[in-house]
Amino acid sequence: MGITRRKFLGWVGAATGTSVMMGKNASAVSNKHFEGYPGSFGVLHDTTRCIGCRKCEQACNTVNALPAPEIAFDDLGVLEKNRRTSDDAYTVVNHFETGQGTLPTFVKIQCNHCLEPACASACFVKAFRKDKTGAVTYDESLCVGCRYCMVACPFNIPAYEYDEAITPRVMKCTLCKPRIEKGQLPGCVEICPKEALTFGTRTQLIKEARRRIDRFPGRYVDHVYGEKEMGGTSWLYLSGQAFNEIGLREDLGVTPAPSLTAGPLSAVPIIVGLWPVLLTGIWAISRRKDQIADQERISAVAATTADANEEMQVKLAELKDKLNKEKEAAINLEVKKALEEAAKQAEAEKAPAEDEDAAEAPKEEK
Amino acid sequence: MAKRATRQWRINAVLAIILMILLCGVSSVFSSTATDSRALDVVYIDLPHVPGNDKMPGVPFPHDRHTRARENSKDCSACHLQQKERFVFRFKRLIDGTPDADMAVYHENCVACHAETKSAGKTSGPLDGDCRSCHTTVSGDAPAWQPIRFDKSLHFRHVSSKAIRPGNMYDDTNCSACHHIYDETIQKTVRKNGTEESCFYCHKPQKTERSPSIRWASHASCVSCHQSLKTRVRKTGPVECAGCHDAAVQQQIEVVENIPRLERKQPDTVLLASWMSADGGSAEAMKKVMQPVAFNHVVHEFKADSCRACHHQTLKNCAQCHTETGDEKGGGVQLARAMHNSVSTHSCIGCHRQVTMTKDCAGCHAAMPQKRFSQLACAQCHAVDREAMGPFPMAAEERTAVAENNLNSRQRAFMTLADEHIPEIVKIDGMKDKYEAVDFPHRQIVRAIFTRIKENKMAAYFHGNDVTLCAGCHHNAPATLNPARCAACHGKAFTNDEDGRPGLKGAYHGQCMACHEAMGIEEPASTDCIKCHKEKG
Repeated sequence: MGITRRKFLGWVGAATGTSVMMGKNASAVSNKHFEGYPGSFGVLHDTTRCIGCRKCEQACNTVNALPAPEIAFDDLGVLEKNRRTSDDAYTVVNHFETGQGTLPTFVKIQCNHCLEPACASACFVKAFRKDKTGAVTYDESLCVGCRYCMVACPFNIPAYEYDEAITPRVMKCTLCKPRIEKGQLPGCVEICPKEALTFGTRTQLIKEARRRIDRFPGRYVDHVYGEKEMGGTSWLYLSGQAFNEIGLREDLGVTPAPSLTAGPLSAVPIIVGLWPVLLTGIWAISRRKDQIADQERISAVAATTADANEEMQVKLAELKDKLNKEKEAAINLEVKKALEEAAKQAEAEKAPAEDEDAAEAPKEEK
Repeated sequence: MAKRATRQWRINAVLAIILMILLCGVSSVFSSTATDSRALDVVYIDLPHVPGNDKMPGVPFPHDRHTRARENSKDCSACHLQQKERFVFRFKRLIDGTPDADMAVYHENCVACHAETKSAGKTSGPLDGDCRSCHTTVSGDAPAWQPIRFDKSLHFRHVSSKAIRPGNMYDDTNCSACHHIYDETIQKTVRKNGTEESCFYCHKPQKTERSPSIRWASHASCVSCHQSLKTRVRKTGPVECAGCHDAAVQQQIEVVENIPRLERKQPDTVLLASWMSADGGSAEAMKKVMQPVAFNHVVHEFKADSCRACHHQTLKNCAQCHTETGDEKGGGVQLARAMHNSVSTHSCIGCHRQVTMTKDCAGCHAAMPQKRFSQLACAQCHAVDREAMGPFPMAAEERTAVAENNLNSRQRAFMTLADEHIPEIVKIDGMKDKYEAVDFPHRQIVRAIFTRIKENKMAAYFHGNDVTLCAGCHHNAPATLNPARCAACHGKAFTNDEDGRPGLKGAYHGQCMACHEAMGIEEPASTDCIKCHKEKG
């Protein structure tokens, strides 16, 4: 008997279910979600101000000492193609035509520095961290190169140094954390001629964004992109067009990525912890079964052997008995014969020898 | 063996490709027929649904094809009956009957005509039994279909047409040929000069108890009239669907410039002061209320698209429905709200705001935050001195006189500064670490802006004095001959100013580029740095 496969899966299921439900309950109790470190910085990108000059791309390249691009930064022809960030360009500007008669819209993309980053939640070596400055930092010394972060990012931002054979890294915008810590502006913000990028604390930026919408209701869509998306991002956007028309996803919801995956992921340690216990148990049970079976076999063999011996002894004794009896009978018969013969002889000859023969015969038996 | 399998596979692949190409071809044939039947002239015939008996979809009926097929007949009578010399645009009946009876009308007459055409050896429509040839699910309007805008030019061409005869013999204008009103007492439509209003006031998008829908009314009136003129071989308007509703044909409609004013005994000037009679109109009470507005009705008539631009429900004056405190007639909308609503295009403020967003004005105005009601400069419009008014209620002539006096006393010509007050070149060297200093052609720019608006009377009036224009760039600080320089307020960026003002670089670029974009100035392009900044040598 012991454990069945069905029962085992049942246990695992129950363990996982409980842990997931516990996780849910825990977050349902709280009415808050993480709104970023107080005083953490961000950037407000007002796309109605952007002219698509690519100066931000250039500044980013310079301050991060990235390799020189194939096409020079003052060649605006590249804007005709929709681009994404790469390992040698942490930020790119894309161009969108949004309807007849309206001017084109330019949108700068880079890491949005989520308040609760999906990349960090997917990283099992904790190479990504949300820093107090607001930056989502990357520690290449921890990275194992699994690139789960690239899959996890809803904005398609992290890029990988595929050309680097020995020590490839995940590359993305750093929010110019080193510069911020020195009291400088991020490279892109500093160079932007139109102040299409505004630097400040995230709280200030949200206020400023709302103020602009309030003062120019006709110019903006009444929404600050990034205030709530994916639980909030440090990089915020204003637009005159629907955000999905300028390449910013509107299907992300307001739930931070980690809390979407926290339930199932929290079951992982439990499963990982349970495996040895369960397997050891199963091993122990099956081992005990073997031991019992062994013992039973041994005792059965012993019992059978004992039985056989006994029987043999009995048979042997009987056989001996029988043999003795036969012998006795034969002797008696011989004795009888001899006696009869002797009697006959005695009768016929003389009787003195008769007594001696009769006394010798039983002695021979012993 | 393996070779044979590969060959078989190749043959299969080729066959599959051929099949796909064929299928694509077939489907494209089908789709092209589908777009054909979605032509511009489709009238969708769909009788009221009888529950349990809607086996067939309606019929998308290509109207213009039928009109052309009946080229030889003089008028619409092949399909439409007449009542009181006007065609009733139902098919072969004056009023709708039961769905069954109407269905029979369609089936009998359509098929009979098709059969007749066919027996005459011509191409004909579907016959008995070809149910699905007519009853298809293809429906909807063609992409080129456009509603016809009966604009001022088109209206004037009808007003001035000699072919149109007024509805009343004694009228000296054409108005009564089309315009009519419903007389409640005799329960009939009558034609009366001076009562003309817009068709849309009575004929709503859907038919009401009293009036047919605007669609029905316009087809019944316009097409009937065009048809009757056509029969008399006069110059007339279109009778085919495409004549009015094809976007390309609409482009070819003759446009008349400089249309004279419409005559409907409307006032030239109006004194907007309905609120002044509310408190009995005593001199004491009048001091406590807002000054009246002298409104130049003539000027606004020429600027507006049609009367409906302001008079959205009726041609009565605004205050009849929009009373000072709001009334059911005006949907509860108070007069002040109706006039100052910044979103509505029927209100003064809403319409003026739209004008400020046109290219000539938007250079400055697009950068100005939208003003709230409390930030408006009341006296710009409410400019009639209460002292000039007599006791209320005033006679109509007196009111007009007050309004006219006020309008005549206003500054009409655009005021501008003499060159000596406008610096010619301003040196800007904020980015001297990267570029040479910019010689900003200050005077040239001021003159260029002025040239674009000097003919604009609205701008002339509202820009008030000779330094108002300076405030387009030198904003926020008081407008004087020596306004504050940019750097007086704009310096380092992101310094946590509560007003979120940009730094000096952002301010310069923001203002120059945003203005160029708004005014449609393409040179210099915003991204062409060295057009303004000379590279450092």
